[in-house]
Amino acid sequence: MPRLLSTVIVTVLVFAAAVLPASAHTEVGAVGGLVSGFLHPISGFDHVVAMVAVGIWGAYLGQPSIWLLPVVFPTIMAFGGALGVLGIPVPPVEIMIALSGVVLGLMIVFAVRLPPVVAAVIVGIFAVFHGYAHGVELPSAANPLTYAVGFVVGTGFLHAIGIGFSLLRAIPKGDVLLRGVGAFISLVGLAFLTGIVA
Amino acid sequence: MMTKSFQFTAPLAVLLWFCLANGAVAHGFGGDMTLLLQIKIGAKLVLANTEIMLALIASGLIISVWNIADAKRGLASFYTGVVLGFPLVFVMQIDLIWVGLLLSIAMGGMIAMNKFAPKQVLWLCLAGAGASLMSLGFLGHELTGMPPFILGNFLFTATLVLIGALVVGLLVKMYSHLAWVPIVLRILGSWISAIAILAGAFFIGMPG
Repeated sequence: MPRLLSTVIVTVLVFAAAVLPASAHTEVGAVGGLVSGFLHPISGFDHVVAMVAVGIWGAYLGQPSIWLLPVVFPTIMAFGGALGVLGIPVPPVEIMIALSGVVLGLMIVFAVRLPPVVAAVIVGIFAVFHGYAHGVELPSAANPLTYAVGFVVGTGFLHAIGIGFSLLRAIPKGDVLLRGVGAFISLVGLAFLTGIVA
Repeated sequence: MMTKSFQFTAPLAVLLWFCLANGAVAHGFGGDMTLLLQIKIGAKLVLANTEIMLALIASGLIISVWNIADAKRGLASFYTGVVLGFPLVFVMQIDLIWVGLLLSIAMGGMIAMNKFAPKQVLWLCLAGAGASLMSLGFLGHELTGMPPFILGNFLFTATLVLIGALVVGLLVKMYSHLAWVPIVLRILGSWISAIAILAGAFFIGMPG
């Protein structure tokens, strides 16, 4: 069983590493909007690591955070998206997105056990900025409504990958490995924050 | 007894009413469409309109949490809303898109939190969601001038989506002993709310 688990995890990681760069908003129509929206959160590495971190941290905290964080994130993210669509100015979005990677990564590294509501508030604050970044691109999408569907589902997909990563804890030394993933997420966030990666 | 038979006949009557409506020829649809094309257009009117899909999926999932008797009442409320929606939209020109979106946000939120309003309130929500189907009239389609078979298929497809969501909800209930199954339903509920919020923002931000 642990061998199967390891194989599944390695396969997922290989597929994740082999993702091709996405060309956003080149598609047309309802399906184009859906595909474009789905690829949008996946094509930005700063988004990817933060949303995977939400899934890992939620799973690490256990019930009810395992469902609370992935439920809170898209809902609050939609409010952030609405601010973006409506053109309401929000403080430096990219900095906050990068910071989300750093903070959430550190939560995993140090296995921080916060009360579910506090964890949800932290995740919710960052979700506003992730949503805003998607929202400002919503009106120019091929079909904004299906784009919205795509990016909400894409975000959920990344949370699911994060929850999948948390299965690492079931294997020997898995906890250390998981904390390593957290450190990687944190470093990626730091790289975006300091401008090493743009 | 009266109520029980009403619950069965009301949805059936609505479906028949739409299927047997006057054979008006639409301006944009043309009169010589093949049967298959009409089925396709009717289905597409549901499947390609995110706002309508959201209201249908949320309604189906809400109905699935009840027992059979309450679920029947829920379905009856939904189709009563469909009947009422027709004059509200096409006679009184009331835009029900917002009703559908707001109810999708509310119902999605309830599914996500697994906390539900009293049944009577939910029946009203379902009636509102049913009425919001007719908001199609504000999405660039003239239902009054649409070939009746398309209209019938629009409603048939809507019913299929509603029943599909209801079945998903029932499956979740059936497999609720598996820890991850109820989580999936909660996440689905939050997605419905999130997409409806974004759709609302889009309608405000980009009117027309």
